[in-house]
Amino acid sequence: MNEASENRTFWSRTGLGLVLALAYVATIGLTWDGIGYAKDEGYYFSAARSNFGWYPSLLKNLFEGQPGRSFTRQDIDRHWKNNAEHPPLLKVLMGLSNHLTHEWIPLLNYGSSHRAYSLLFSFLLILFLYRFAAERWGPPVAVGAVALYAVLPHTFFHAHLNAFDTPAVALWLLCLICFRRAMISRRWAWGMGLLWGTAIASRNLMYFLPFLFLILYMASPYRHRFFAFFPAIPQLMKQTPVWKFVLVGACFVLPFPLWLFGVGWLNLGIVISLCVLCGWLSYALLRKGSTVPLHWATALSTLLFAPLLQVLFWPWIWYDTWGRLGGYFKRHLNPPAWETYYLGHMHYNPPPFPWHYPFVMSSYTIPVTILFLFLIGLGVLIWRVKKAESTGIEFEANSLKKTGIFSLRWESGHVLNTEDESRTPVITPRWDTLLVVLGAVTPLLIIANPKTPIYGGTKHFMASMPFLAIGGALVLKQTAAWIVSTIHAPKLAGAAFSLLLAAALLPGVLGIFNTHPQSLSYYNELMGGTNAAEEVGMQRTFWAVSTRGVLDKLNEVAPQRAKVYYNNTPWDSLNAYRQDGLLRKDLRRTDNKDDADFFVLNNWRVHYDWIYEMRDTLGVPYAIDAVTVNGLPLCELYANVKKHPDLAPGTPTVEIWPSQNVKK
Amino acid sequence: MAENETTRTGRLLAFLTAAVLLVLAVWSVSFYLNLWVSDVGPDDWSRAASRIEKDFRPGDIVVISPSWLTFGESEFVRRNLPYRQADHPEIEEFPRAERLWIVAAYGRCDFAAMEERTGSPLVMEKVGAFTVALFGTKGFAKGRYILEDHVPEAEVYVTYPNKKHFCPWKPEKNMHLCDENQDWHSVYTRLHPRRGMLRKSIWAHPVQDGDKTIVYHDVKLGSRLVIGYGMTEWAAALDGGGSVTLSFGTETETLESYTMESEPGWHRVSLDTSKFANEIHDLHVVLTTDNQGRRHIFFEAFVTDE
Repeated sequence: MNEASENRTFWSRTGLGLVLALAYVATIGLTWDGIGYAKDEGYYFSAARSNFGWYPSLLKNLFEGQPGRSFTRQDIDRHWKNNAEHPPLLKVLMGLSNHLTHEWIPLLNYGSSHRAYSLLFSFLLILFLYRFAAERWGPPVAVGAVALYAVLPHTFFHAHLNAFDTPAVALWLLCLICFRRAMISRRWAWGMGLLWGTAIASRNLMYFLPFLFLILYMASPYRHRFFAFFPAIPQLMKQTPVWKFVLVGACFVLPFPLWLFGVGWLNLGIVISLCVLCGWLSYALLRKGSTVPLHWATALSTLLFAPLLQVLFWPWIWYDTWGRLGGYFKRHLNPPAWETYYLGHMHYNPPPFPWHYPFVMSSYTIPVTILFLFLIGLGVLIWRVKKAESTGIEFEANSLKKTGIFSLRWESGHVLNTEDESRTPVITPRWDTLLVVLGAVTPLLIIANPKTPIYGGTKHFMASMPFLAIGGALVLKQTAAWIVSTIHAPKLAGAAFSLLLAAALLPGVLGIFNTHPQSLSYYNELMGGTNAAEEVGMQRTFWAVSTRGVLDKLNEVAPQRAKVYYNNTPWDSLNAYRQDGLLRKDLRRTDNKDDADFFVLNNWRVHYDWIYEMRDTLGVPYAIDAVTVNGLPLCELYANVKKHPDLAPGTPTVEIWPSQNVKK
Repeated sequence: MAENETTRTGRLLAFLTAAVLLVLAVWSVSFYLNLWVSDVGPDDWSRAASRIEKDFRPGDIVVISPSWLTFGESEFVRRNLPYRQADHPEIEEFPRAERLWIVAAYGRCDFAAMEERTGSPLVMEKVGAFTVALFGTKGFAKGRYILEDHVPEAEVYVTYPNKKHFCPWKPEKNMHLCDENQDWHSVYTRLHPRRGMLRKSIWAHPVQDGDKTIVYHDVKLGSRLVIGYGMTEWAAALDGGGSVTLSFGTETETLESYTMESEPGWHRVSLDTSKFANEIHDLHVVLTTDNQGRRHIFFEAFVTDE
């Protein structure tokens, strides 16, 4: 391969992905303005401040020569109790991002400085989506997949937030890609352990990944070795030095007698054992000429590193470890649900929730052309899982030998194993396609479980989207290829693909243009747009993001120290608005409706009755400001006319105001 | 041969896919263009309200369609034009209306169905993004006695096995209150959006150990009693309570009972009262349940001769 073609390969495999990732991140960063602070963001601002705050505090204590203070239960609880129902790592990164870009270097405002952290995950998501698709199906499919993902209005919206959802999409993708490489590389197997440990310290969705790993493992030739392993155990034991058995046995057994001295000693023993085992495993996997069988490597690595990293990243579980871990898992096995309006019904605890929610919501929130491509693409992918190897598509093993920053050493496209030198392909087109199918359908199926709450809108199954985008892009490429071969114009292949891609992207771009910064309220053409969703019985908006849109008017008309009632905006979101100069600092929040001067009311269905009750009892004739999408109010600002009659003049009319009509 | 077949099929599918994709893209573009052209702006509200004000008569009612179109209603309040929102005015009841002004946007109102019910419109104009139409109410039943309008003078009590407990009207709270410490144990009117229409209804929470009764004294009955009733979505979602029976009758007999399960929504029924037409009776509405947990019930009704 000459230098020019190598450069071309770098460009097509990675360089273009870098450009696309940077462009995506820049677009997200430039469109932050106007997107209100979501309900969850408020909680995470607070949790990030609290969780990350432990690290500067630790440094301070170190400098003062009293590091032990940071490890006391009191100090750990103070910093880590906040939002302990979610894993810690992303909140720490939010806090770090806030300190780097706001507290220490004043580059961004308070809210954006927290949000900036998720740009890193958006960057990695786009880069690795591109790289994976380019490696397997070529740059056009990769460009198509990235573009289809980028113009999905809901994912576009979520990419702006200081929340877990876009990072979860990125981690889901990264873990699957890393697992793919771990199947044929000991170093990647080692990395897989670190990555999955990091992932479960970030988002609970990642606990589902081992099921996918197992399916993928069993779909590879390794399954033969797995089943052949058990009869070989006696032979293997004879070959293994006794000291290894003693060490491993000690690591597993020794912590338990420590329980006699207290749970704290047991925990310490387990952590030390894990450290020893992980250190040993790292040495075994990373040393030159490692003889660890590849088909064990990933399993060992994930099993050992993940719990260790979970413990290291999460000081909250350093005390009352089992109680707190138990509480965490119990909460997620029996999660709380918030009210969601769906197909004309309010859904709330207890389960069951409608199994069709993720499918119906996807059908109504993915732009119509992309939805069409996703559906065909998923069908094509499933078909390819059955047919791929017989269609004659060969795995491009050579292209994977390149090494570099983004392509760690790729040993080969074949199993290299000291026990078995047979060169059976592991990563085949069929296997890769299966990976994409599993990556796409699993998040949807998780939410389709009737026991899983559905309050999150689309965000809880967004991890499907990059994989569905690959399927959609494959359809585009294949369609363009067939067309140019039919008209015997191979030179037009690029143009045909570009035209089809543009046609596919246009509805998404228009949808974002129409709804931004309220793209969380986007519904597609099949629904009839955002305002039709109300009539179909769907939720207008989620998470109080529209509050931002009425603050300018509130700032303008509210007298000094006026009291404002918010029906759905948490204190921490308001604090962020205040810090960023979006809400006057003298305005006070009140939870007493009768005492309020103003009402900022998000139009969640569950609040409708109350909104009209408030209007009726206070005689409030109309909203003085509203955030709307195509006429549909998402958030309204009302003035209490009993206190401020000048702000909403007019007498409520007979027809809709019963209290005016009754004979007293 | 087989390969040719595959190739042919593949090409056909490719062209089909491309064609569908392009058609969907064109449809989407036209969808958004149409949406933007239809978008209602502040001027549209003002112009529509001004147009109606010009020919408004007492007894007219303005119906804004679709029901979620609320932001510009200030223009109607300022002009003292009585209005309410409704998705499908053609299937609703407007017992107070002499004429109906329909202010419709986004192509939502079914004017053909409206015409079928009431006859040709007296006015049909495009005013900005709105279509403003005026209809008579020939096909709509006129309300002679509207129960929601007479809640304060109604008598409300709960009949327990051993006693009758009266719920006096509390003007300061605008409700008949059965328990000073529990506002839910009451009967009153309130606004609420239900099945695509802003409604004013009577809210009455039943109790499990007694029958909650609302008595309208000396009502001149007509040929029909038009009734609407339902349960709040919130109550239906939370469940937790039993079914609720809503009965209508006179001082001597129960005419009909309707049972509500834990289902949101709105039911409209017409009760034949022709055997009492033009007679004066006490009209009794009774709510019962065997489990009162979260049973937020609302109803409305009017007496008509049509």
